[in-house]
Amino acid sequence: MAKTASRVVDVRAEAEKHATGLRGTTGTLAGLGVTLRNMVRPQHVTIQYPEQRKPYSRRFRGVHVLTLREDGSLKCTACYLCETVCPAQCISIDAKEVEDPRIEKAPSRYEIDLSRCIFCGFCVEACPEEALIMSREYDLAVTAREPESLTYGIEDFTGRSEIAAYGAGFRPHPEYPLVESYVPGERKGEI
Amino acid sequence: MLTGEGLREIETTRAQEDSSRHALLTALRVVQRERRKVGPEEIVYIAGLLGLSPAIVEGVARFYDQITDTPTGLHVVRVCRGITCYLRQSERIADDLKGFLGIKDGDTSPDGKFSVRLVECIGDCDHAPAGMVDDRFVGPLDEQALHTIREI
Amino acid sequence: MPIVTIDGRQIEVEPGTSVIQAADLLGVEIPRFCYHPDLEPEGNCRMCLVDVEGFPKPVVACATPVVDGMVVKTPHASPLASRAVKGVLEFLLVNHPIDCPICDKAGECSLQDFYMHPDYGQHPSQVNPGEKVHKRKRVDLGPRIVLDAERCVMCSRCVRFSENVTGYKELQFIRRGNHVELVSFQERALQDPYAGNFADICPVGALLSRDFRFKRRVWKLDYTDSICAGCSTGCNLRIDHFDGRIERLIPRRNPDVNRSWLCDEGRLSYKTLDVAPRVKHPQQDGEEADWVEVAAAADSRLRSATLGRELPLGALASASGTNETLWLFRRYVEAAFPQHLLEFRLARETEAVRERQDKLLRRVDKHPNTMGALHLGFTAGMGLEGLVDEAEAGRLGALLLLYYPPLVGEDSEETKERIVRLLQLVPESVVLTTHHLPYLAAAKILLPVAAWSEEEGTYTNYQGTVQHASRAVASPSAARPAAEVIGDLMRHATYGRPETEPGRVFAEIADRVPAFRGLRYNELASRLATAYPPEGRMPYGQDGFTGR
Repeated sequence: MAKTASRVVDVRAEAEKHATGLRGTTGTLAGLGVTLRNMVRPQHVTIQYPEQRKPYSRRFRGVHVLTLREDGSLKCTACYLCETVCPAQCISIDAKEVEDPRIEKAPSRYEIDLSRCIFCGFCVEACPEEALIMSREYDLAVTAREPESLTYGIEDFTGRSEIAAYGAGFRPHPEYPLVESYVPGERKGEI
Repeated sequence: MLTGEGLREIETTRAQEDSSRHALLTALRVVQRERRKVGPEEIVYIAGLLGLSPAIVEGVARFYDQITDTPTGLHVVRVCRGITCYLRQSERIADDLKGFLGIKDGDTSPDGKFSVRLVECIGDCDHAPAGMVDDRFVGPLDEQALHTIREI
Repeated sequence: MPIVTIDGRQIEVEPGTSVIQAADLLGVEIPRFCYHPDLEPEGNCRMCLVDVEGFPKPVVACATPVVDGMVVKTPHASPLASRAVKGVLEFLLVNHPIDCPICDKAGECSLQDFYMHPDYGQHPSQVNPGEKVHKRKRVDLGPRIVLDAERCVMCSRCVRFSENVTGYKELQFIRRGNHVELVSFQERALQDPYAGNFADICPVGALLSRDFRFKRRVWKLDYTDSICAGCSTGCNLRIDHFDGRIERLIPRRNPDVNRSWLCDEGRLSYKTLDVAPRVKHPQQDGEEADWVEVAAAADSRLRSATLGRELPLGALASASGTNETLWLFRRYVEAAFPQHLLEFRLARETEAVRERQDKLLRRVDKHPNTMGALHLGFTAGMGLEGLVDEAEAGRLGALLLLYYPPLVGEDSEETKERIVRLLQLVPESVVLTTHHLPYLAAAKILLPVAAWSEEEGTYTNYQGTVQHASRAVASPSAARPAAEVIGDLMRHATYGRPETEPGRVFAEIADRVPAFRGLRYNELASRLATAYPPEGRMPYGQDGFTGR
């Protein structure tokens, strides 16, 4: 490849040659043209959130959901795998005894500090029972700074209507149907 | 709980072996013979008699199929399920025999007279399908044998 | 003495040593279920199979004595042994329920650990879960133990412990083959006062502690070695705690003191620390105050009530204090109070210190350090009752009392009444204690001190063996180790800065007290005791997996 010989340039002279007077406005006019053309072109790339919302994938990792068995009890047996694998160490669980000797264990307290959560989904992957899944909910703004306001417990992971509205997201076996009433008392959105 | 004779048998063994634990098998046999079972009551009794813990007595009792936890009939009919007898339909014979003796649920007839149980080889293969009633061999278990059994 | 080679490494051992014991000494890992160093070997689990050169078949390492020149290969080095052990494990897992998520043993389970090891486990399972044999689950065997018969691997450690160690004989196997089940007759509650040990010796989650049930996953626990402060036996134990709370106590194996056992009372002794409210801040005449002020006041008031009025100080230490605490206590009293009555005995401690309460571990003296007090120069003396007499006769100027409520049981009504009387009679009193107890209410100055699990120090058991306890958890609020508090009093009384750090105090004691001569703080025998099994792996939390 032939190299063009380099030469020393007097910058001021070059500038005066190309960028003074009317010639100096060519760049600006070209740009303005682009702007004006796009202003009148019909296009709506801006989504008018919150009235309009973008649809997210069925593998979206949003706010967690604790799933239920047919009889309405939590599937979770407080095995602590999710708490152990969480890279942000934001899950906190206490266990209790249950009547049925084939189940034996359930959480008495199950909390995730969503302000620390990185929504990686490791907890869902670790769960051996599909007791913990993630929904497609992503609206989490709160108005208080205290971590308690974003620490969700069992009630929050099973009882809120938002879960049904947003639908289920990331979970290990999407080919199996979730129990009809995985959200108690709510008709679910799309599963 | 036991007859004088039964107790004497146990004591004899205990004295011979100079050990309570050695008399345990004798005790279990005697109690099974006299009361037709070794259940929780009997276990507590034997444990007390021999100075052993009930857990240990239960451990030995439940090891053997002949020592039962529910009462057997007055007469126990044992049908052999060893390979020779099996090939001669001993399993079907056992079922037939149960019907024949009026046994509907489980092993024992409602009047408590008979129990029928399938057991491992009893060593009477030349009279297959072999069987025993209490301590007597009654093989081969043909039509006639079944009637004989019922007449006992 | 016979020399054996295991996986290429040689060791010389005492005659009669088994291959598995030789391997444990060498640090070569051999898996095992039924073998336990404090139980007679049985050889029924077949997990310790090893390949011995010249032997036609693999043999069990636990029941094979070492012969000079023996060459042994474990599953790590022998494909034959590895296949054999994998087969054994596969059979054991055929009917084992898939309970790990709800089983407390997870994280310290021999079955889990062996299955995960490439030389013993990781066989692909060929069992249909629907075909597994079912047995009784969650059987309540009393206040200490829960039995899950499905999880049992029939190693018989519990049966042997119950038959041979405690003699209660409450557990036994029934039936045969696939259907063998561990039972307690009629599911009766276990009466054994050592029942807590079942949960330690069971290698799987069949016998589990009711006290610890579902409390915490073991990989979250921090482990601290300590000594039981429940009686003069001084069993070696480990305090398992999380986030400043003690979750359970388990024994460390010390063949000379407690082997691998703990009595149930000692095992649960940590719970007594929560029975009464703790003293959290120093108090002077019923008002809370800060340490600097109260420590100064304590020393001043004691001295003006005694020296100032030419009356002796009554100084009552405690047979529950550490050696370091007692040493500083004595030094303070002897140096600051020329006239003093130095006592420590509340009741029968000095008579009862060696008296057995049962045939196994428990002793009548419920103080961990009576022998230590005696070695450090305290005498049986006039004791608490003598001090009460002195106070009644108006011959005591003030009282300095170091008091710890016993971790096992309670002091007698008589002792409590004497303390009440003593505190009421003396014109001035400074009490160093852990809890707000009604019988200490009359104390003029109350100084909060650390409880047993909150301070480091040494205790001397009934045999005269000095043992080391580490600090597991923090004291509440402003409570501090008694040694430090006494150091403050000494400093105020005149002397520069006395050493209060336990290791250094111990060095001083070893220098000056004949019973401690030659002892080195970092080399005390109890430091070597660890919980069995020694291959008990580091809980996952401590190997960096969870970053804790």
